[in-house]
Amino acid sequence: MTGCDEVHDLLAVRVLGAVDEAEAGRVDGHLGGCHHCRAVARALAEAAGRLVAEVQPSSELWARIVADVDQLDDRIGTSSGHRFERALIPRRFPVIPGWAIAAAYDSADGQLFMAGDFYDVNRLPGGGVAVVVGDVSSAGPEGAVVAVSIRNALKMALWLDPDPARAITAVERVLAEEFRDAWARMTIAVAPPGAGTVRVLSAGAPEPWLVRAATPARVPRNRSLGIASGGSWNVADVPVERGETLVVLSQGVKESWPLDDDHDEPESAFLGLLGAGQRSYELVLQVVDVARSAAVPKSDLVVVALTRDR
Amino acid sequence: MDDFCDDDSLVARLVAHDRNAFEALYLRHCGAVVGLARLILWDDAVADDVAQNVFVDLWRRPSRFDPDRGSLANFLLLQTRGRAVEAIRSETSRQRREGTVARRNAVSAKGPEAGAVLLATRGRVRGSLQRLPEREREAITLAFFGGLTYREVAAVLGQPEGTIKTRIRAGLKRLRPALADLAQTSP
Repeated sequence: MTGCDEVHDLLAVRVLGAVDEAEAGRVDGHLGGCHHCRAVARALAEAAGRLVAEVQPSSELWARIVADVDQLDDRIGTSSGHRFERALIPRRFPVIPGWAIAAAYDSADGQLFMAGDFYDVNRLPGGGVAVVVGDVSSAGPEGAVVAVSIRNALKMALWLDPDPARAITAVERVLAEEFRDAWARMTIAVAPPGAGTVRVLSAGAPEPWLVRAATPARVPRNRSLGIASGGSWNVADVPVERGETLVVLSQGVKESWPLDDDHDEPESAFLGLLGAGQRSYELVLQVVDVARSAAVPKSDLVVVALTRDR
Repeated sequence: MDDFCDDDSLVARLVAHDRNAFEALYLRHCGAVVGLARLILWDDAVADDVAQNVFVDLWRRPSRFDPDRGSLANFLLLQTRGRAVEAIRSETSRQRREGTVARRNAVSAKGPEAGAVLLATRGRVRGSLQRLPEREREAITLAFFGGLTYREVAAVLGQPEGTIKTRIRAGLKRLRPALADLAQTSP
């Protein structure tokens, strides 16, 4: 731990940015835990602010910033931003107390949904949220029709009963005809309002990841939907700490992960992305950026991140 | 200013992707960000580019700002300083490659170029800096607007590093008299 004496000497040059990176790290680390030095630094920073005469920016500056930000947001749905208005992803994001949610759908070569991926984020009657990320085996318009059916049937089933095992059982039965020529993989994650566990069902889909631990959420695997009938579905209650994020991924993201030689798990470099301190929005952007750079061009990428409020 | 509208609360809303909070933060800080960028860069178009990047980056990665380590105002000014210095350095190296003479203050400044920074910023900073004793003003100008570390300032001015740190701190304290008491107490 760097002491007050050493840091005290550097505070003034730090607020001007006139230190090297190592010194900046030492000072900042100390400030996080020292109320006194923080107060001094704030006062020095305020003095430094007085060195700068405020000027009126050009009127186009804000418009240019908004254009950039719009472009960023076009790739992202979030719990308060604007939406894609399409059939396979939510038109609006619900605002769920206790959770910050962001999602990205990055479609192959700019064509939406031709690979049959879909996702949904729904508010439940009890105040919780249900997240679904999935894909169907057939691509093209036929696949899209099946995907829309599954998505809407699940929306209804989860609204009536938030237990993912019962919902998926009902959907498989109701849509039995649809599944003659197709099957589907999906992850369903149901978070009650404010509480710290998320009930997860993984049906043939990649396991979700827990960000702080940078590990798979360790949920039991199930068969894909539509390739058999009957049997029971395994679910897991995954504890999500305050500030922690559960990341639900589509198969396309998983396939674009640089995989470790020995394990079916991403390389640690990729996991670095899932490091601490990231919020949902930043995280989905980064995951999509990295996955897209490595992805098979034909695959869709879907990422939904659920961050529990601190 | 009520609790909901202080910078830290607005940044928290930024994390939840709240455009209104973003616009409020922009309106509050754009004058200083653009002001500093223009001071360092002297080219209003490039300064606007820097300011644009600073705010877009705040939107894209709001968690890079940590309220436990300082104020948002200071964070944004340091981002601006860093990006402006970067812009000058790449411009300078481009000019060197092309064999043209650096037109403006070269912030990678050693020796003679440092003099140019001092000369150039004169008259463009606030009166408050003008009122500081020459030595403090010179050290602060090189460090803040010249983009140098205090070690580089010490080398440029031929002074011990400790002296430069002391001058900078004394100068800042002079700008904000109430600071004198706070900074002298030891924990």
